[in-house]
Amino acid sequence: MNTKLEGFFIILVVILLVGVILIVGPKFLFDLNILFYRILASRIGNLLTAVVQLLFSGAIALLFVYLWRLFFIFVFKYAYNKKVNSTS
Amino acid sequence: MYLITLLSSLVAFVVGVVFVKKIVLQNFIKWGISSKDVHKPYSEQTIPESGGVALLVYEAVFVILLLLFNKISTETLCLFLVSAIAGLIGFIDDLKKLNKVVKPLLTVAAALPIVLLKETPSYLFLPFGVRFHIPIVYTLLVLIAIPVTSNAINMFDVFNGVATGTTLVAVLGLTVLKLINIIIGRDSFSLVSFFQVTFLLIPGLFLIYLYNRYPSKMFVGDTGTLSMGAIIGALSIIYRLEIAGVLFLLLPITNSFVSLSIFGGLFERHELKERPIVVERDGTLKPNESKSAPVTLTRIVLLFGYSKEKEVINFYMTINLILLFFGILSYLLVM
Repeated sequence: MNTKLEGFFIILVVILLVGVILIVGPKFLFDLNILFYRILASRIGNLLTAVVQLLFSGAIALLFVYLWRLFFIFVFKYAYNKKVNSTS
Repeated sequence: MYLITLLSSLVAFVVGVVFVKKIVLQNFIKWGISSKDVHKPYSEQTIPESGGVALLVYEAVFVILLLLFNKISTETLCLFLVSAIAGLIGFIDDLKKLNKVVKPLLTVAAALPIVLLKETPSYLFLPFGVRFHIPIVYTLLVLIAIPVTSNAINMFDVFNGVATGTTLVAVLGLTVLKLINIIIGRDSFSLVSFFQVTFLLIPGLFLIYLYNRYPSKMFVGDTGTLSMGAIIGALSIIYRLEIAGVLFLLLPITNSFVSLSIFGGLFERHELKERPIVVERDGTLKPNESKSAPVTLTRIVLLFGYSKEKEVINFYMTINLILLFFGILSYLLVM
């Protein structure tokens, strides 16, 4: 495939994937937090359940940011190596 | 009512065009508010900066005329104030470079009209019917959102017309979605107010896009970029289309995210020891092949073989248009 077209599709797919996660992610997290509430609230109380929900949601958000960054590092390294190999 | 809005917009547009032609293009260079286009080293031409003032002039004339007829809606006034405060901060930054931390902090002030005019909703609506009643948290989110959007557009002013084009696309997307919501009765937003807000933003943005698109006759400067970014953030909040606003802004947000996360914090362009891209004498763009050069979205794009400024602009605008359709379609499907 043409390198420019390949680059266009790679970057577009990564951006659209982030968009899809932003659409689906909150509902997924919301449902998981409800599940936590149902399982944990009667055992450890509302306050501790809220702490667990907060920590879990925070961890998921951080993981998302980390993977987003990682994706772009991969894309950069892939494009960089391709460019260096083509010029050497 | 609609006629007054249309006439006010028409008068404001004519004043805006005259302002650009007689003040920005003719006098800004004399006053030293100008610079060379770094992506066109073959050209000796200096381009006026801070052309974003024209957007503020258009909006100010439009709002004054509506005030004279005593017909202005709170939403229109609120959006004007947000845009004007952000634009003023940008103008100060254009004249006297602000500190990399002070600038984003100052843009928090642009969010204040939304809070003070009670335009902050108490519910946050998320896709698939999820909603949270978070009045206090939402107010805090507003104070964070406006600096984020205004600085994302500011950082995305990388080539002629990219920031203005992106803003125009995002505002058009939000306008279309709001109109659909009003037509299908999902929204109780006043049609008069919608009409005013549309004519406050779109003609003004179109005006500066005309002069800022490739090849630029004027740069919008931080005056324009901060103001435009604040407009998108405020419009998403006032129209209750927060998620759609984020989807339309995915490209500038990604651009800021790549630079900030890999660079490791806030920075100003002049602080960079190495440029991410190299511009040759004939205007050909090349990615900096040094391993220590900062990673930016444009550098990644150039590594894939793009080499002309126009090509990169088309690349960004095509992605923006795809995101526009993606945002509208996904919003209609899941909200």
